[in-house]
Amino acid sequence: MTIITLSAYLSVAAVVFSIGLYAVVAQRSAVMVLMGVELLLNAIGLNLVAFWRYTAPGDYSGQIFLIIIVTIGAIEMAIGLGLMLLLYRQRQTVQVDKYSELWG
Amino acid sequence: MNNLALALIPAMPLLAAILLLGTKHRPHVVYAFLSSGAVFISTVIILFLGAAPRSSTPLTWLNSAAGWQLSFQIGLNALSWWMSFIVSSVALAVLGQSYFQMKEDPSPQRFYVWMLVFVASMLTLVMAKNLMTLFFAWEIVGLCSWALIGFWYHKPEAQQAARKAFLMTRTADFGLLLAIIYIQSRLGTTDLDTLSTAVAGGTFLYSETLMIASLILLGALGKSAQLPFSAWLPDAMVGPAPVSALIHSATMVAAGIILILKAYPLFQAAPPVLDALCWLGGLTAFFSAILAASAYDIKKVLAWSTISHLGKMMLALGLGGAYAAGFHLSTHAWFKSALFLVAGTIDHAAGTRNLREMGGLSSKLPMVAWSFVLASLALSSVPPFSGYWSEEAMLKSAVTQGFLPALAYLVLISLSGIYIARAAVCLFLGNSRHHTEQNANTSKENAYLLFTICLIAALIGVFLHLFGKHLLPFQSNDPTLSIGWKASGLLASLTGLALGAYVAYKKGSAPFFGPLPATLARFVNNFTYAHIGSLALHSSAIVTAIEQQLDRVASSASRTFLHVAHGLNRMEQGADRFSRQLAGMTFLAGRNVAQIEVRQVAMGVDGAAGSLLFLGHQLRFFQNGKIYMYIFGLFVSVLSLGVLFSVLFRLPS
Repeated sequence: MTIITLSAYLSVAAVVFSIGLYAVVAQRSAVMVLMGVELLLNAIGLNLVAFWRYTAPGDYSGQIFLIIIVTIGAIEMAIGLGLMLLLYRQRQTVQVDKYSELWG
Repeated sequence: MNNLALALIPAMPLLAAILLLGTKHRPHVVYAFLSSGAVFISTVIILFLGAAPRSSTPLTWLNSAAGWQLSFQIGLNALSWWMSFIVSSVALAVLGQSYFQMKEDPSPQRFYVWMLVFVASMLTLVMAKNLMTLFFAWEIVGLCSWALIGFWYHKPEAQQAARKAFLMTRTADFGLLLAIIYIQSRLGTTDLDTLSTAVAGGTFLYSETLMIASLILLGALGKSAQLPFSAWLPDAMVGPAPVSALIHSATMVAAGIILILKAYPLFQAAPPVLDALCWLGGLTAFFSAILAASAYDIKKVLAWSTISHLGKMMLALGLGGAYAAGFHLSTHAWFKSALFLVAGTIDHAAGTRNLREMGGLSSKLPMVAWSFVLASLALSSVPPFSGYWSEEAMLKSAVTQGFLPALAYLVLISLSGIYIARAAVCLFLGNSRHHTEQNANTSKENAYLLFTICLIAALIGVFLHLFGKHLLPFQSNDPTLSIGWKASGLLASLTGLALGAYVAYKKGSAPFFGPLPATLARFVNNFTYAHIGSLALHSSAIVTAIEQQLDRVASSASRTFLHVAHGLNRMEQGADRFSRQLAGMTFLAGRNVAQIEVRQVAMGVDGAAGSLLFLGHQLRFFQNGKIYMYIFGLFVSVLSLGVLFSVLFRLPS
């Protein structure tokens, strides 16, 4: 089997990042935006682990970093969903297009 | 200390006057209180100082090498102490009561200032130790009298009366001035003590004594409104009633008597002058009493009564009764000013002074009526009121001189009774004759004050008779009156009162003596005013000529100034034209610069602003309020920053 180079991982991560970015920017539902954020985080984690694996495998700082990222991602998801819940209670909608007080 | 105390007596009212000059539009009570307070302090000082002879250090005005000097000096001796006490106490009463009468007057400040200046100068006059000071104060008193008679100066008759009073007294003062000049030139000083010692020591010849005495008499006649200078006093009644009370009944008109009293040793050395005094005084008293019984204005009645009583005092002086004259002066001052104050209150209450229009006021103003009655009883010498004691003294001095003067006094006493009873009956009894007094009233405090003043006036005679014999300097060496004379005096006064009251009750306010007083008044008026009036007219022609000359000088001077002013004006016009040209050019330059600015500068700036506006419009696309745009913007900026930094800070590979 051909050796999987670093750039393969990086390109996958880049693809996932773009999909996540597209989800955040283009999705209308707030929950879908949060999913996009999750994708973004995972792509960054993948990038981080790839760099760790291919440059300094003996050092475990990459793994620690990823665990922290995942933890923070989980916390952030909880807070984000809580915010969405409150927003829904106030505005009766989760369409991000409707949250347009910053217009102008 | 001596100087300070003596100086404070006339200085207190003067200081109060200066203080009042600095105020304006204060409540009326303040003025009344301040003035009465100042005079009260003066009275207290006088009382404290006592009659022991004392004098201030003379204030020298001129000191000539030839040995004479002019100086001002005031002091107290028995006569001046007593007189100043009378003046200040009457002034206190009048100033206190004038609060009620001048309450609605629009210029109380002017009134009180002049009254205070008057009191100050009158006190100086009374306390004067030499004729110079006396003359100075005499003239200031005349000035205050002018100002106060003409107090309501918008009334033309007030202006005229003030001028008449001032001119008449001034004409008579000419005599006094001549006497002063003569005394000064002969003795080197006008000191009164020096004068009396000189007279006693025979420095003057008999003719000189006669001349000086008659000149002083002339001055006294003018101030005391005796014939031939009587006409100003009844006309002076256009002034406010407190003015008449203070000046024209009690003090200024008494200044003539005071002058004669001060210079009495001189008069005693000139018996013909004393005779002249008798005749003038007696005639004046007689005539003015008749006129008083026919006057319709209550204040005119009192004015003629004043002249009559002053005539009686002059008569007493002429008969050698200086004690009697001084006594009567004191009592007369009180009861006459009390009567004037009552008359003023009645004037305020009833709105009129005409006896024909009044009547029945006793029901509306009971206390005021009783005050008037009290003072009238004092005037008509009914025992035990003041007038009785002083008239008795005068009668005593008359009896020692003979039967005729005493008879004259009896007649005069009954005349007083007649006119004052007529006035009282017309005022207070009977039905109201005019509808103006339907609401005649006066405040209770005023009524009580008037009653107190009249009570004092009525009782002061008793007080003086019992305790005051040593207060007046002259001794009354006359024996006591026989019971016959006493009884006749009493009878005369009661008869007069009864007659006057009866006739007034029956006939109303018609003149008591019918048409006689009118002819008499015309005679008095013609004899006095006409002569002096023509003098004034002639003098005014000279004055007009002088004024015309001055006018010519003034107009030529003004024409010169006019030419100069024209030249200056032309120069100014030329300068003006030049500056206008300059201004035009500057304006043109400014306009061009403005155009440049508008076309080039402004438009350029406008263009820049327009492009910025366009940019703003375009950028607004990114602020549509949609979250995705912000996130997208965030991502794009982070990306571009990252690319920038990776390009700039590339690590060496």
